[in-house]
Amino acid sequence: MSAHAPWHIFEQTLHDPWTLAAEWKQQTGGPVIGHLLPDVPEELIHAAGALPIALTGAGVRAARAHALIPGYTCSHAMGVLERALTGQLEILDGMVIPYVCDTTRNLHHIWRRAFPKMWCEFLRLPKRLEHPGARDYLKEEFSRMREALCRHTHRAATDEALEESFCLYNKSRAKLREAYERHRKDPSTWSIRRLHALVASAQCAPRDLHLQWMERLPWNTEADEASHCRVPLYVRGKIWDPPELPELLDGLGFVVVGDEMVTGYRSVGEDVHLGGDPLEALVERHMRLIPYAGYHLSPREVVDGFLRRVEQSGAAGVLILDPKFCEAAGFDSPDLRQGLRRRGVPLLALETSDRGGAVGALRVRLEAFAEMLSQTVP
Amino acid sequence: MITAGIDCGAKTVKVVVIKDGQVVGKSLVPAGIDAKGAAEKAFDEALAQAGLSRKDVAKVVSTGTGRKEPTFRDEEVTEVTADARGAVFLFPQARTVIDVGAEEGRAIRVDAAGKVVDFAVNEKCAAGAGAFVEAMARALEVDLEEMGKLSLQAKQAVPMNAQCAVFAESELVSLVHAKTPKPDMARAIHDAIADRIVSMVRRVGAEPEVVLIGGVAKNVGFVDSLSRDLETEVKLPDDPEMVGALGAALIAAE
Repeated sequence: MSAHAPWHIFEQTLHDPWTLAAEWKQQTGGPVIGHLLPDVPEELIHAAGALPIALTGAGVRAARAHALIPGYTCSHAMGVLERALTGQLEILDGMVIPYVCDTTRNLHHIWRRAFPKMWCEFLRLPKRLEHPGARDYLKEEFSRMREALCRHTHRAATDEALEESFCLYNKSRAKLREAYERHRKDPSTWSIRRLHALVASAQCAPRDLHLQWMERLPWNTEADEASHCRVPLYVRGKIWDPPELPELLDGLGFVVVGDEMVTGYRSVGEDVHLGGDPLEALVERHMRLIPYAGYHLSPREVVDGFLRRVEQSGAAGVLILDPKFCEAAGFDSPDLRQGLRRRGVPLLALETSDRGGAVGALRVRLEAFAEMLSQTVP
Repeated sequence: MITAGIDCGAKTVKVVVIKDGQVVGKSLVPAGIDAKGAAEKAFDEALAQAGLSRKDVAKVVSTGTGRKEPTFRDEEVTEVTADARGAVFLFPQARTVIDVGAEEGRAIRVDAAGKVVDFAVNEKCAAGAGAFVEAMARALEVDLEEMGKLSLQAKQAVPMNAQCAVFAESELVSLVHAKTPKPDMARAIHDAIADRIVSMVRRVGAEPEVVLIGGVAKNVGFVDSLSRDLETEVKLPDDPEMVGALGAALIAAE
């Protein structure tokens, strides 16, 4: 078996989750539910007997979607719509779109009109997380979503079923956090590209199967000398767009010591507490997550929390990936940049989108950033 | 110690050979479509000027868009790093370096050692680079050199919201139809590029001294617009387009 063999399945799944979903559907008879990122609780879908698949639009060339959604839509939403319009999502038996920004809210309306036969739910997440009613509201919303899912799947997502799902997903997240540790220690073997494929594919494969695949990985590798010369980087962003970015960072000698990607550490950093009211436990987890750009918190708390995480990571610099046309990211970004500059933390902010910029142009900026940081690395 | 820096730009290839910190040879040749060949030619020309041969050179560092092209390079660095080192060598008090080349503009904040502290590169569009000036000179039917001088004769500032080279040409046609004097149009073009460059400079922080390098630094009209926009004096080296190659040669010597 080659050194690449155990990793291949994760990249393959990320590239094509549909074949696997079709097999799962045939074996279990369960429905496949797609969901837009971030913050749709996969455990709710899983406990209702369905396979949750996180949908991303990075790297999708939009042609048909332009007819239904304005051109100033982020590549994530645009790409997912394009996938649906070109028949790539036919495997789906349903769709959940979370309310995290105006774009996802409008996408939900567009989705219902464009695909009237597909079951589609809108998860109305609270935007003001500090509001006294946010927790109660979110619990009600999760409860509504649970009932809607059960009606659709004809399965009962009982408290016991939810607890089982929590156990499975917690186990998976713990293993993925371990993968982050491995990446920090041995980034040559546990490269950024591999780590990304590993974490992101967990969101679109049957979780139990994904856990089995992870067992085959080389968890006890020794770091080579090059691993110690890497430049520690902290990454803030939503998804890796263009998708070539992780490989680019590997090639330039970076190691990601922390990230806030919704297909990255943000998805695995927090577990669901067991043994209590399951919906309250889901709410608690949601409130503990790294704040997503679309949520309204006091700017000071957002900036201070971000700077604290950067400092704790030991990063030599920060890469901010602002998706083009993402208004939510645009609101937070100036404060975060200012905060970093005040603390003297080197920063590179890139407006990214597979639709908007060539990988070559990004490479030059990242190379220059690597040169800049390598001067400050002890 | 003899070292060489080679800057393979989008339009020209520049080589600087230094011996113990002194420039002993330099050359500039068009990049054309054979960047490898152009790099070889430029290197040989610079060596000939210095009375040296390739075996005399201890190390060659390449930079620029085509920095991977020279087969004789020992190492490579980005334009950002090379520009910073070259500019601070020439102007030790420089803290902000602006490089406007044929295809790209960039702003770099540097420390006293010539190390990069922050930088920004113009996004995607040619409207902040030399190629834009060339396109506009063609549209105005004037020589590139004449463009700069013409701009200094402007009597008024004409707003031009150039966001890209293609739209700017349409805008220019509108100004022509409105019988706008040529000097005013030339200034409008330089002001538009300066606006884009300065917005980038402000992102990294414009600390004095400010040094302008790259081929566009030879355009007196652009320098005038940039100084006005930045509200500060802009320092100019004698050979602004050679600074990246000089920086690479200096890095090779380290």
